[in-house]
Amino acid sequence: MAGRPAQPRLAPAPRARRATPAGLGRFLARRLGIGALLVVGITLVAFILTHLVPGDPAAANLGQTALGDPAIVKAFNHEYGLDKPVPEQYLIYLWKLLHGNLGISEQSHRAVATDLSQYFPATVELALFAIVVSTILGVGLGVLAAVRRGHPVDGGLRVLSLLGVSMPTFWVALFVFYLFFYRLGWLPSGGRLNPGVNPPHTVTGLYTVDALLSGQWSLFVDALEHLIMPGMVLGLFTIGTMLRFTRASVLEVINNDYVRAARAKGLSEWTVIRRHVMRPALLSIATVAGLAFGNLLSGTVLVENIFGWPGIGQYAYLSAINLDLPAIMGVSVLVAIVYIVINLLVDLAYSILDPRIELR
Amino acid sequence: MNKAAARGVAVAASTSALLFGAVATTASASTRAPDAAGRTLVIDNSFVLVTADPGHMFEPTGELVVNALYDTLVTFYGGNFKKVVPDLATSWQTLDGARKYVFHLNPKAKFSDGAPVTSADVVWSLNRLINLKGNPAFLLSGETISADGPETVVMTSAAPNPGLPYILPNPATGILNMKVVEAHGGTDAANASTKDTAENWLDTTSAGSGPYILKSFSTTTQVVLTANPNYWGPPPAYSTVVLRNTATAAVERLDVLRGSNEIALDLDPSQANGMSGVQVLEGPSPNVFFMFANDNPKISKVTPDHDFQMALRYGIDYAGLLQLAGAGSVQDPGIVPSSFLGALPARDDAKYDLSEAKSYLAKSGVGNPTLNLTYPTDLTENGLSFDDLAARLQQYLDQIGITVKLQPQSIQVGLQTYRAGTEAMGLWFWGPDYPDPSDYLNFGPGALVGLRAGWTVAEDPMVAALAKQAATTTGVAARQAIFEKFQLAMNASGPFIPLLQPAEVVVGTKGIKNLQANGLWLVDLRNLG
Repeated sequence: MAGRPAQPRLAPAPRARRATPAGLGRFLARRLGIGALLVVGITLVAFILTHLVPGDPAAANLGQTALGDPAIVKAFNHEYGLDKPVPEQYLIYLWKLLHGNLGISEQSHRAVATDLSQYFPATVELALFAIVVSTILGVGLGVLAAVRRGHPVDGGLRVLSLLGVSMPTFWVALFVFYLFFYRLGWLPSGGRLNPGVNPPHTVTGLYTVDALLSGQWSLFVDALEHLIMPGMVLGLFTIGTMLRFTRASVLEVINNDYVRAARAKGLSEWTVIRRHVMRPALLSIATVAGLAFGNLLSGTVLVENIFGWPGIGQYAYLSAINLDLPAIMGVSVLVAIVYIVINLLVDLAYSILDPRIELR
Repeated sequence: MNKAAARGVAVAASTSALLFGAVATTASASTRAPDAAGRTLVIDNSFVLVTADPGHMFEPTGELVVNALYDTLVTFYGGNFKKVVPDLATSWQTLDGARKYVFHLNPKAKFSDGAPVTSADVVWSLNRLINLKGNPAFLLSGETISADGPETVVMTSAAPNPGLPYILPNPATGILNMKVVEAHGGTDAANASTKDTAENWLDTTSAGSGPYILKSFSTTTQVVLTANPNYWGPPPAYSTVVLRNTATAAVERLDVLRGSNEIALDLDPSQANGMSGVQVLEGPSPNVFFMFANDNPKISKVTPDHDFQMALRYGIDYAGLLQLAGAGSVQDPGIVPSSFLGALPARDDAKYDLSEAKSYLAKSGVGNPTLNLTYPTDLTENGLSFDDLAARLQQYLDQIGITVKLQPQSIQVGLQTYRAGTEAMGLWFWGPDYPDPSDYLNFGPGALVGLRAGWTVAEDPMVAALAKQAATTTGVAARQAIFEKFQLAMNASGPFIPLLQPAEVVVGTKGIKNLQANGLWLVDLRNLG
């Protein structure tokens, strides 16, 4: 599902011009239409794959002795529509999906939509924290490495980048936990809040945001403290990637004639970097950041596991091992939508960062 | 590039690092919610939790939660599963050859809203459990429940059910406040499986008579219980209990060692080894790991041979398996766990005897066979990995001339072949549905698990007759004797080889009094001091 965002076609444009509202509307309508078709296609693929896996949902969800009672098995299969032919099950699923009904989870006994609304914000909060921090650090250090090319600082940062992308997440997570929680006592243990603390009133599902909205400062600090360790670990890989990518992008343009001309005009070095070096490099960085955010949203299972973070990664994992078909389908649809939306946003960002790019 | 510009970039880049540092240094001043009213207990557990509704609940974490919220007619004290003690029922009689039970309720018992617990509540709750047809419904299969006055409950069944008193402590049979639950969509009608809508409500609050009430419930983060102010028994030691979902035992270990949380429930013996300054309780879990050689000649020409099966039994180094399973694990002489009524004594343990094993193999005439051993590769129970266990068995059986080809399967795929009875040799475990030996009659010829090993009644009518007799025998001593006889007969002629019970480890901080592991509900919150 992950892939490079569809590159908008570069139209020859003699001068910079912004997309007209009508053009933007057509672009959005076309992309959303394609996105809807993609989601349906993904439901079909996910449905076929989950049915190809040998396994019996009743066996996965009922106890051994309960499974020996035909009345209990029959009630289970009937409740989840598993007593119908597979094509009919798929059509029923699509019909319900059209009405916003993702079905009932076999493991939690709740609506899948309800489950997703609880798990997904937790992952979004973690991924947002990680992407913001890693983008600031990755881009900043990447620029620093580029402008200090060949300097020991560059060498050090390249090693740091290599470590970021190559160290096993599981190991890093345990090390960080051991150091900051157990040895130093600077950060709390896992979870989203301290034990026994009630979460803030749900508005967004992001505890830090909801705590601020409800004016609960101590709850905000509590939630932020719990974000730091998993956010650090999750962001480490992205920092390494962003650092390398930014360094390469900046090096591509830093010695171009127009950059030298800007320096010759007497502009400060900081202004040269900000206006003339970063601007062209931002297109590539936006692409990487978009993909990285998608990966963060859908690939957090290990970090969530270690830090007891109740996110979508854990939900997907539990759904898979319990053959919880409605939940597996729900996660698939959600992840598909996430990637479609992120690709769309990245494309829109292209036209903002470089007005020569026309959205079609 | 001047130095000032580079410094500016560096400063911008380090903003996030400072954010980490700034917040981190203010962190952990407090590690839990302030508790003005009394003591708070925090328990780390890797949640296996679906619901707090007794009628649907059948998961380990659920048993811990529901046991604290709801009383049952009878219960077990501590970890002693051999003796049933009163809970809501002060006394009971077994009549008509265990076809009829009469329970007399404690008139002092009351729900958390102050209403008395009556026989109507009991009848309604147990009928709801049956008619919901959920995971635990089989516990009361075949039982008819009725009231005989406000404080007397009668349970009858067509067939004798001597194991019933050992089934009723299961928290799934917890008694709910009928009027309150009915007001929120509960029903005990025959169509309750489709009409009862109380489960979601019971996941937000509780309606029981136990020492705790449900304050908040999440299957993913934490469950918070508070002391029931109307509890009719001795008040619980803690005003608040927080169960925290921790997926990693390594994290639980550090939590308890640092004193951040009080109890860890998911450590294995190797993780508990060497921990100091804490209480480490290690004892055998009621989970039984076993191996079988399929008795069905259509599945294998080799494995049904009795001498071959005996060669397996003597060819396994049980001490080596226990070393793998760690401190607290025990060899299993029979299929019934050591802590249950009917268990065989340790003197009946199978003995590792290489020459005896080789002799049996030669006698079988199967030569030096090569056979598949199927097991779940993605399953670790009580810290014991099936992969490691299977590798040891392969090594031991190789020494007597049997080549074992390991067939690891994902649990869902493996369950298919296991339940279909198509595995030549299988390595699995059985976790008890309830702590009574009658649960293990499933291993008899023609029964649920027996058939998975190709063991039919026709294959072994004598053992089948013993199973039938055990199912209806009443009286503690008589049941102990008949189940011992049944298991010895199983060992002598059946396809199952009981291997071991792995260790169950509970680690708690020093300040917790009367901390006991419990094979059913993990740790008994009611008895903590």
